[in-house]
Amino acid sequence: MRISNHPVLENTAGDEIEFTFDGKKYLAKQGETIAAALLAHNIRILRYSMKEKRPRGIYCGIGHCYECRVLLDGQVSVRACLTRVRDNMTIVSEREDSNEF
Amino acid sequence: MNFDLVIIGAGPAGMSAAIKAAENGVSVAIIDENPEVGGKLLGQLYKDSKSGWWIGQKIADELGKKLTDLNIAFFLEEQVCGIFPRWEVLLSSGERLHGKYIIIATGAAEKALPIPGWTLPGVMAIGAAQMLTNYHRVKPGEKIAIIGIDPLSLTIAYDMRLAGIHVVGIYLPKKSEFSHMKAEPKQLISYLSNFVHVLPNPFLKLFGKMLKYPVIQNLAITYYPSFGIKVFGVPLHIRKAVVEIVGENQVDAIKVEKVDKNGSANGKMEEVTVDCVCISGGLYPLGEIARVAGCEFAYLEEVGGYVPLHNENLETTQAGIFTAGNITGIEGANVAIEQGNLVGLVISDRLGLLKNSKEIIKAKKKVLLAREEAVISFQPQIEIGKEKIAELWNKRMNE
Amino acid sequence: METADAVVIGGGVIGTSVAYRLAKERKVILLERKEIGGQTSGNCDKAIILQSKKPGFPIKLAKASRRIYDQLEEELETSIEYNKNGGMILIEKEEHLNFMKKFVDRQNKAGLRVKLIDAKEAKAFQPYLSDNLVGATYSTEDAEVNPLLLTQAFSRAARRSGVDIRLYTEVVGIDCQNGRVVGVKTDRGYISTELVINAAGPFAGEIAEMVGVPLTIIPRRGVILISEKVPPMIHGNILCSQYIAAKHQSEEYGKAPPFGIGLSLGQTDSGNLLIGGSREFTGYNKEINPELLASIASHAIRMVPSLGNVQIIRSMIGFRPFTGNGLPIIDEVPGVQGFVIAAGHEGDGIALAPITGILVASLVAGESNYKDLLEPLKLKTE
Repeated sequence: MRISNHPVLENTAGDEIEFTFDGKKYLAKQGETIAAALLAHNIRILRYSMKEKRPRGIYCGIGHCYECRVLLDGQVSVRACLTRVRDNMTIVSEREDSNEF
Repeated sequence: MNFDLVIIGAGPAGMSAAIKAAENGVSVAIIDENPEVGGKLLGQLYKDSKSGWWIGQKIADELGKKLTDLNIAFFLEEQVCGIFPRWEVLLSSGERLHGKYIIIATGAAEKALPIPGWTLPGVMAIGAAQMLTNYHRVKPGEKIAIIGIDPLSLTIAYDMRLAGIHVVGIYLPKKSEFSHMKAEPKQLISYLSNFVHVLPNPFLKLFGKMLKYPVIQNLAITYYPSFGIKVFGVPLHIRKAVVEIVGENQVDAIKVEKVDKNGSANGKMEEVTVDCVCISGGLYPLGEIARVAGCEFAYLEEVGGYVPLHNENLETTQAGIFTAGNITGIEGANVAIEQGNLVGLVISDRLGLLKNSKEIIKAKKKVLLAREEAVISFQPQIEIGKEKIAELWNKRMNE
Repeated sequence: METADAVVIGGGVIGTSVAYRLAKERKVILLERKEIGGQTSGNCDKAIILQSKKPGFPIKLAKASRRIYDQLEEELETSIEYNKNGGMILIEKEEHLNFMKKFVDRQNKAGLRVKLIDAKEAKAFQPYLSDNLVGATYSTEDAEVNPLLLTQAFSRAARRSGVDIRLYTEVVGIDCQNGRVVGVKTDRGYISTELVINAAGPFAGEIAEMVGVPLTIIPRRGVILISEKVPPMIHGNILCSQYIAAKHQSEEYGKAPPFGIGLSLGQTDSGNLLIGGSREFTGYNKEINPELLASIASHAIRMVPSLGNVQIIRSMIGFRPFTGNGLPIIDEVPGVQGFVIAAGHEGDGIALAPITGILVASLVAGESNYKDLLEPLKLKTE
């Protein structure tokens, strides 16, 4: 859910762009990160751990912990918290069978 | 590419250093792995009793505009892969930046608190929640629990309420090897009372009034109501610890237990429904890149952990490599900005570009002043820690 | 005064293996200047490759060590991630094909099963290989082990057997009287002993100097890249023919490549790839330049193009103890009774650690059962 009408901060404007996550289309605001755009749609699970296949999401939010890795246009291990959404991006939650070498 | 100065980290320290150096004619490159400059500033929001609202993003925008006006070379969305002697910075894109001088201003990261269930989606560091709330304007969750009571978590709890987010409570972490005093009410209260003079919001003000005197601290703990004290609509549970975060694929609830004055469990367990848990384990200086560059380190509890040894000009044990900001100790953005200004001037002087070297003396004084006047401080013993670093540096130089 | 039946100098894979074997009959103290496995043994690849060894005695020695590996996990009571996954040497250039053919012939004559396979067969076994390879050699006798676990396992087993392991204790002198060792001086006190094992790896020369013996073991620097965890993509270990050329650096293999680059590729159980490596004589200099890292990476990507899509998380620098003849020294120094050298394994320390412990134990017990293996490892005096 997005925060609108903040009492102190100015409202953020921004054009809407479209991206795909795990095969579904979503809207994002121009300039926001993949992690923020997905959370705005209530999507928290960004990948599954390799051994136990447990779900993982954003943790540190500053690119340090590498928990939010996604597969972006075929590129593995892209950090959702640092990477901006661009128009028509295709993002896939990272799991063992989604890695293509 | 060749520059006089290559700066790693475009937060408050790195940006101010870049501006001061460029204003004196130094050619500067600045690197950050984020898509935009600002670092931790971008998420900051708190009320300052003297100057009103501190809106970090506005400050970041102003500094960023100056960087652009001064024709500083930006390398954003780049990771530093290594620093090679004397001195070359290798970026993840393959670009290599050669600098006569380097400033490492990589800031801080958050410590985690190990609580069962902490890897579930929906559990995040308090700093991530701050960025989401104040910068991205996306709610970290619909019902949020915060674990860890400290100046940062209280400030962000306030920010969340401001943004209309439902915070169900602020709790202690479960007592463990890593939680230290964060899980012990008595010690925690005494720690928080250190911040009485710098209280930025109602949460801290509450503590300030209650906890100025040791006798009252003790009473406050003993008679602290089990439902917590509500401030701004958020219950502050200084006698309850989160012992587990539960959920199948993401957070569904937390398990909460009553604890005694020393943090040991003494009551029944209750389950509270939440969809997001924010963990505040405290900040630590982020020194990895300085390590790779071969800088020597010292561990000082007072400044928040391992920091690169440095002198009063902020130069490290590797000649030509400087440092500024939270990598030298956990403090507020104002101190980082003044440290950045100082190191920018020192490097301008080394390059023979500074007209009036008295500016350096002034800049040193400003760092001390900013530390004294800090609105939010994190390490109550920071000044002692800084003195210890100076002693260690002198000791090493006399070896 | 403190006394010990034996003092082992060096807490790497060799020192811990030796201390473990000696402890069966003796009171042993192991001295380590820093941490267990913190130097050479903690900065190396994971291959136990037999087919890369020189035909003849080196193969015989490696095979003897490899046989001990088969029971080692049981003996040390822990997993060391030992896998008999076989090994492959990639042949990238036509001009390497000839000498690799000869190499394989000689290996088979020496009793090592090595097959020359074509590029298609190689790719069927390792699907991520480049399409531009000429062929490969393959041997089921190659294996792999996690070197960090191995050194820790030896160290723990040694402790269980009563070895007193002292970290952050530096040897500053060795006391000799009438041509025999009588004690070891450390920065934390004196230990009276009649037996000292010099297992200081690349630093063995400095220790030998303390008894006045010149020892030409010099550090050969090797750099290895470590990737993030990725799903299983490499089976067993992969080397390349250039590695063989760089390792043996014999005239017949042509000029050595820059930085002595040759592929050495393996994957740990946790998924990290170890991508090697370089071989250089630069003293103990730990400063490297970006060209070196890039050369290792681009060489590896040429053989396994998918590596281009993998992120490197760090690199490690190890100093391997180089003796010049491709063999370690395991011998009591003539004229200095009680001073035994077990060092100079260069890049074979992991492969040869199990046999080294047994050989040293046999040597100091005066047994004759391993004479054939000990004879060629004697200290050459000229």
